[in-house]
Amino acid sequence: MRATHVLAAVFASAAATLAVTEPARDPDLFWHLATGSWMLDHGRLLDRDVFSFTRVGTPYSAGQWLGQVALELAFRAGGWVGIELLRAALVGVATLFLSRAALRIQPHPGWSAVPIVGAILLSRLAWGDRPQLFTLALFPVFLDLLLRARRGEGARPLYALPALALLWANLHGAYILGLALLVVFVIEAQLVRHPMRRYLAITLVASALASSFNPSGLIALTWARSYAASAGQRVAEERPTDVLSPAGALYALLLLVALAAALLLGRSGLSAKVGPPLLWSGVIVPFALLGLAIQRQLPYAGDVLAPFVAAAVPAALGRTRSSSPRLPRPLALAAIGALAVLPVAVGALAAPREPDLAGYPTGALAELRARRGNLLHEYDWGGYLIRAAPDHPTFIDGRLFPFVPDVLADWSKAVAAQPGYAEVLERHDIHLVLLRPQRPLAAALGERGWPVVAQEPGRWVLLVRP
Amino acid sequence: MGLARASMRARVALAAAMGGIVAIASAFLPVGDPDAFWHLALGREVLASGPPHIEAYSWTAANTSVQSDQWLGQLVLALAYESFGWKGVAMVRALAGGATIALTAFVALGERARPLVAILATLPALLLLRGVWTERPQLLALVAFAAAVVLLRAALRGQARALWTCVPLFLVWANVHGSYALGLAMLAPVALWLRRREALLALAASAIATLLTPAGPGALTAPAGHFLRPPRYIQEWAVPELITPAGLVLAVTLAAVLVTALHGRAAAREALILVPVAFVAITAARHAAFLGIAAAPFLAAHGPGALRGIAENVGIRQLAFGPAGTSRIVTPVSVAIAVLSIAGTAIVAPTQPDLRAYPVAALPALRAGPGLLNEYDWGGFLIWYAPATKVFIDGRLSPYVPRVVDDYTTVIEAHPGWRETITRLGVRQLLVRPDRALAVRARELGWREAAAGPGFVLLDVPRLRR
Repeated sequence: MRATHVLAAVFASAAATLAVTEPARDPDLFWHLATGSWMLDHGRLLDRDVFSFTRVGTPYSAGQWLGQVALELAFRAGGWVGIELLRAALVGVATLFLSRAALRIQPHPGWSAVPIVGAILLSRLAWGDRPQLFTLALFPVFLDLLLRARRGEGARPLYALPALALLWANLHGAYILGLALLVVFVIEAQLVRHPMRRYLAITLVASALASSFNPSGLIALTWARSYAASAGQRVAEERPTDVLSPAGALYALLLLVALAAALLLGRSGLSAKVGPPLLWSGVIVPFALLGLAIQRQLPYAGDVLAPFVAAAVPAALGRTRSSSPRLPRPLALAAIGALAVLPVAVGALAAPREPDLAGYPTGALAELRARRGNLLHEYDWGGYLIRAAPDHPTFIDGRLFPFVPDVLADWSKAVAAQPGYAEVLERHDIHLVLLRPQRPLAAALGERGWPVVAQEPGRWVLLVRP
Repeated sequence: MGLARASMRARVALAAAMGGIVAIASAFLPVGDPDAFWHLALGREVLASGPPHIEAYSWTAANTSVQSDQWLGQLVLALAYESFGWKGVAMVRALAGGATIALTAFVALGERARPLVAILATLPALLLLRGVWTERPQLLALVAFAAAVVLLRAALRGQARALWTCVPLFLVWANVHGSYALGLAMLAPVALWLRRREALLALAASAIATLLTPAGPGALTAPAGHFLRPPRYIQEWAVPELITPAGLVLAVTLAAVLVTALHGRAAAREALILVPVAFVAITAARHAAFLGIAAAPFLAAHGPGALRGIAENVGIRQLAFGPAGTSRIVTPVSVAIAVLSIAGTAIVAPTQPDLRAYPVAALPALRAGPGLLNEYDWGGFLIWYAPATKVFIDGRLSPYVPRVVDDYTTVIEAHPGWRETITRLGVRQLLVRPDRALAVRARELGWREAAAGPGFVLLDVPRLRR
């Protein structure tokens, strides 16, 4: 067995072990769990809002239903540790296939390690406990399998893709990224008349058809457009990448090193030492720009840049390509087995048993349980309140799309105390307000005589209508 | 030699024609950039008594020391205003924009590219320049940047004198605007690449020249601070949004550079300029124009070859771009266009600024002296049109970070403690937009409205007990 397989397992094990030690804290985890729980308890898809009072009964997409059910099943099986083990498993899969893709093109660990570690660090942006973890895992699977097929390993790597596309389309809405990657490989193979072009085209058609077997069918493909057009205006993680932030600087480093290496090598050097320039430009340009446009998509930019940088940099510096040494199969399998067990063992011993709730108004729950009336709260506490204070339907929460544009506009106007904020409070019959204390609305209501019934200085304040 | 001279004449004429067209297009635009007013005020002060060292326009930072890092650019604007009024300011803007594009087109045409190819390669620069088409020293600095690109590319082709020409260029640039630091970031790798003693001496001399400013080495601190920790709440310093028109042009330019690098011939020298500029361009929206300018000659030189490479990859054997020369009529026609356009800027340039975005109707009701709290982007307007009234804050920003900015944010967004902050500072009047939380709260509290109009409200602050 090639040593690169063991090396890929080393990276995967390290990333999974790191992932299992982090507590659950993602704001959206709670409403995903609540949704998964509802579906398991009722035995059907949840396609209408039941958690808010502003949009109760409104139809909305059940696109991530399988991901939500998986999260809830993991929680029911193992509590918060179950969630952390699921996260670790998916991070491990993502890292394994990212490493395989990079080591396939650059077997020398010295040249591969840095870009692989860089891509792992970028992937941490998507380690939140949500169905997006499945996209984090499946995108590099698609990339590795497609590279294998394109580099002459025949059609076998492609057989799994339609089934994976079917799963992916029900796990998380970003399955479109996998289809987009397939499209790039298909177009390139057609243009250069590669022997695999028919198999790739068939795989694309089969995957596209398979992915249409989701609750929204083909309509799900249109979400990409509306997502791209609107999400960034509202949610921080959907905003463009700041290349002066740590993650952004890492991305910029990978991108600019790729650019420099391409300039040094030129087309003929790339063809000879890295791979077909047309394929690399088709893969790198759209996904690198996607990462620049939306910081949440940075992990996938890292996935495509890492193999290229791993191969192109030593080639640009004139180093000859090495091949992977082989290890005795039993030894390699034993090593891989041990590496697979390591994160599980660490998880059993050291995974946090409780979520990190430092960012949530846990101290307000007692007061909320004792009171009735419509509650206006912070956007990113909505998911937590769905789970922790089910007697108070939310005003808004991380599901976002049921609430745009009207409810979001009302919420924004109210918390910023803009003209008409009092009318918003009246129209929605708000009796309770739970916000961060620096919000203009918190200050305004305090001055208007709304008493503070609970607070944690600097973190949250709960006011009630007098 | 005759052919070379004719070719040079044609290059200059074509470049001048492009610059002329840009200049006259710019001349049609209104003047009234929020920062233009305080630049003019400072320029007037430079004319009268030299670069100022003590803050005299605000009451919140009164008598603190200030840097005059843009004094030469401000002097140029003030001279233009003293000579021709607002028309003169508009013409400076027009001619600076035109000169930037003329230099960019000149260097693109010099890459032995077909004229049409060079013009297409210059388009990104033209489109990205639109975002910084303002009456500020920043636009004059872009002329210097384009000149630096011309000189550095000449030096890489073996013209050693070009590097020495950088010395006076950097001397002027460092006194016009802080972006000279990017010029040094391009010059250094070029000089190190050339590895000749005179190149390194020219680098050292240029670096020393940048110290010959009123602020000395301190001239770097404000621009360095802005670059490394940009005030993201200011739109032009925000991260580039690729779904906006300007962001889309940046994305297309970046994609064109990547594709050309992947498919063109090896071009190691291009990396010396492109890589640092590409990084700076993606850090903030206002820096995007740098990439357009630096990429133009690269795209002109290598774009056709990259297209041929792609064509060969897909089996198109002969991709021709037509003859390289220019018709004899091009030069006289281009000269005519350039002359008419530049002359035309004097005719079409506006004689008055566009003040629709400013609270003109509030001016009679403003009290002289300290005590006004104004919108950030009205500060420059007030400095120019209400010199007796000291401003709270304005677009210069550096005298106000962090203390005054924090107080401003607390008050204008009506955060908790906003009334105490008003009392502590001694604010007597508020000149803000009516949809501000501050305006809403002040009206609710019954504070007297001294003036109101479309887009503003002027409120008197009652005596508040400390």
